[in-house]
Amino acid sequence: MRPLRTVKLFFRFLAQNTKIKLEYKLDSLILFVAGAAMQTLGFLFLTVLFSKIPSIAGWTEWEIIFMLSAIFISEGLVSFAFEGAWQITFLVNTGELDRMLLRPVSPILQILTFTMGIHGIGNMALGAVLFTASLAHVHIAWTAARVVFIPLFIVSACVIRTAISFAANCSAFWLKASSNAFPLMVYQLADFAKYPTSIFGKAIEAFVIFVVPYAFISYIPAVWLFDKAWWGVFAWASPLVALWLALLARAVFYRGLKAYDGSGS
Amino acid sequence: MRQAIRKYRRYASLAFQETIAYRIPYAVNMISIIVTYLVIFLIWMAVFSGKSEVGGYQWAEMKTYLIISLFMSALISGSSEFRISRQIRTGNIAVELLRPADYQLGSLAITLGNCLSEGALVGVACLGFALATGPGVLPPDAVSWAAFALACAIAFATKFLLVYVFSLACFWTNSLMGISWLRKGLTDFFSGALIPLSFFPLWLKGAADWLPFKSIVWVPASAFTGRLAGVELARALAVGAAWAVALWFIARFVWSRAMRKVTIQGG
Amino acid sequence: MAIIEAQGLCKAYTSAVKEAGLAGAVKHLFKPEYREINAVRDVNLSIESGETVAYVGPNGAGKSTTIKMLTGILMPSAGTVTVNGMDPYRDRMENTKRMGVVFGQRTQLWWDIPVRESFTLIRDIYGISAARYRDNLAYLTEVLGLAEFMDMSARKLSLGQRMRADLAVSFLHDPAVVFLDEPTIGLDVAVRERIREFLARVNSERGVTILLTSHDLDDIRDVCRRLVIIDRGTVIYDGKLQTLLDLCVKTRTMHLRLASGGAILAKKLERNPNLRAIACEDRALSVEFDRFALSARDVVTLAIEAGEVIDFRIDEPNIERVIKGVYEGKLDLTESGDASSGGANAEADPSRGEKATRGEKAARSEKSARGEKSARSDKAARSEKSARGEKSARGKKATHSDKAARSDKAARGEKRERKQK
Repeated sequence: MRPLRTVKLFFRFLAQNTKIKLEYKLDSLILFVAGAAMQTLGFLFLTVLFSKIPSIAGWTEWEIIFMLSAIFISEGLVSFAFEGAWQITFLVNTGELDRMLLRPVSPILQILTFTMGIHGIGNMALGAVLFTASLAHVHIAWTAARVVFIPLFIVSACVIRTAISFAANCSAFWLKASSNAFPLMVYQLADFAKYPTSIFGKAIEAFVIFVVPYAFISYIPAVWLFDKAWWGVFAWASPLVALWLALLARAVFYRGLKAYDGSGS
Repeated sequence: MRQAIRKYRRYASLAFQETIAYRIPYAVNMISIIVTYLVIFLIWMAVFSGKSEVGGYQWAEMKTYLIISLFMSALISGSSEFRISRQIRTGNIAVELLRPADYQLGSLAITLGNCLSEGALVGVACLGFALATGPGVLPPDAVSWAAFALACAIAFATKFLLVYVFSLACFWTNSLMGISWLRKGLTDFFSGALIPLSFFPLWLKGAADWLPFKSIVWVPASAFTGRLAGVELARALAVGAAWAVALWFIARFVWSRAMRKVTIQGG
Repeated sequence: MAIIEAQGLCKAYTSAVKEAGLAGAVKHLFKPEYREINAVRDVNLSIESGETVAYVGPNGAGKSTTIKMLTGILMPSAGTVTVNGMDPYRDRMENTKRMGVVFGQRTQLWWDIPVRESFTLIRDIYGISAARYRDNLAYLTEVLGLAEFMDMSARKLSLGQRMRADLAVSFLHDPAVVFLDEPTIGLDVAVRERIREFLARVNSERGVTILLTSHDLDDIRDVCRRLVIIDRGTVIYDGKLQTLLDLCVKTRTMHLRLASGGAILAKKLERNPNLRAIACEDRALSVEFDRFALSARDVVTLAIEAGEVIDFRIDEPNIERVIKGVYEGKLDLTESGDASSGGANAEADPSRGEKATRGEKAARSEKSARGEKSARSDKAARSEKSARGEKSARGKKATHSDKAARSDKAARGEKRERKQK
């Protein structure tokens, strides 16, 4: 009963936010264009790079684009549906969080749906385009398992992304400043996952797998799909990693709530 | 005149203090910037691994280029970026307007202040990085050093003005994240921060040449490594300076339009 | 069982200590220092269902912090809180369904959608049945006059409208307890009265327990029967408002309208040691009397016997002065029985013990003997202040003295007066 109600409320908030956002046409357009521009530039970067180099560490252009697109799709979905996490700093510092704590709805849900990022739609679309394009250009030995895997790892990717973002944003509970760069930094770390992390050396590779598991969003699944190494099969652990991270993020939030000072008068 | 200087110096000092006011966020902010460019650096390192030369660059030169790029890009980031847009958004800008100070100059002073606090740390990091990763390339003579210094000044001015002008867009739209991304994306790409402009295919290079962004990274970094020298360097500096001046006036123009909007429509 | 029960409630914060200037900022970067601030210290509260309680204190006294702990927003550093039989922090889901909160400075409404839609969202969030929702909405719309702006979005409402909508939102789900944090701040007089009426009504008709913080003393007086004063994190008074007034207000002022002969009457009345004329004209006389020694009826009787009285009026005691005096520790509350020390001071009147009991009786009989009630206007405030302001040595005329800063002189003046007796 309760989960169902939560889901219903989630879609209700999302629909409402979308409606509101669309009223601000210029803003939405700018955000949309900007988001698309950022992604396109990322893509351009790869294109220009590969115009002079055939491959990096044994990975071809399209293989890397595949990884990139996975990131785009998951990022897009998360921006669209769960953008609210980025507002935690604002909510905590202005005391708007209080309002949420006074309602009989999970504060986490309220935070996640606090706002909606229209640029997410563009990201998802671009990601999907690149995804399908890259699939055409890479060598994958298709099996039933592989086909099933695709949606599974995309969903896991979204959850992992959200959980990490959310937990990072919860730093606002401890870092009391009106502009908090910590979650941005964590977000930046995802850049490591846009490329085969073997490039970055063992230390970083371990970091992106075990500490901030961005690797499970794109890298390890790619390794498995392209048959690059035996340990790629760990890609099937993505859903588990996602679940674990979700629970961890939740715990971080409630711990942060304990440290919450309240603000204002 | 002295009073004016004192006033703006106060702005800068306050900005410096503000940045340091919270130790952890400050440190985190710095780390965040460094991480971004670490990624780029490592990618390039991987690109160069096993090869002596890529796209006409040796690793030593590339490395130097990247470190300078990191330093230049890291200037004027963080607090300054959002300060103006946030002021506009919250309407606090009205308070600023009541002060007997030119907003543009005041912003410049504040940015300088921020720069000092942020730049100091990043500068140290860059130096450490440079020393740790093996030999690089240094400017061959005093003239080059001077040229580099000049290029840096132009870069600072250009970047500040770009940030400023883009931030002013917040008078017309609420979407400060979008504006910021747009600026950052364009700047990062076309300034040569991600890839040296000499890598660009011809059609893209042509576009990049005419935009002001290249003054921010490409010109100073290449001046430093000596890739840009002599007449070409002089030309690049001149174009950069011209752009800086143009941007200054564009900024004033946008500002006056913004003021008109505010006084007619109300914040 | 009390509906709100707090015991030994404490909340402490750490705050960074920094020296001023650039040097201090850099120093703090490398060697930070912190100190602990006790916002709330050992607060005990017990509120029964259906009570109306005013929670009052100077800024920074810990009011908002206490409320936040009672509503589950903050976790107490020490002590226990029980609301509706539950721990508001741990049992958030359940407790919030039975509780309403109104913030004067922030809204519960969604900013960009019409008020009506905010209500339906609330209905869905709280799971209010359709029938109950309809009934409550009708009731609230009528009492608060919401119809005029139901379809406007929250960002377009005036402060008064927004406040009324916020009130509706917090009562929509039939909460057992409602907390209000400065609900009338910044509002005009008409709206404030409307809100007070609403609160009093909803409390009497529906038995909703109300806890209210405010700086507006009319809020306290009109809505609440009980007053809790907090200062620097501790409760310094907890009891009936009337009791506080009885304890702290020693004199009352009566204004007489005469046919003539004000000065003569004044001299006659002043023969009574408990009376003092403070303003005297031919046709009007204002006297201040010790309310524990004389009742209003006594004074009127005396006046009528000695002169030609056409009409009279009695000032209500000025709550603001009283509370201000309590804040500043100038009024000793040890007599009240429930309060902890508010700071000892030389004000203590040794014979007050009996005066207190006499005072209560006097107060009761005063109420019955009272002629007309004066409107709680500026005049009332002014004359009460003038009564405490310039005292005997300064002469009889007391025009509108300026405000509060006189309390020092008032204190001294009272001492002098008592010595005279």
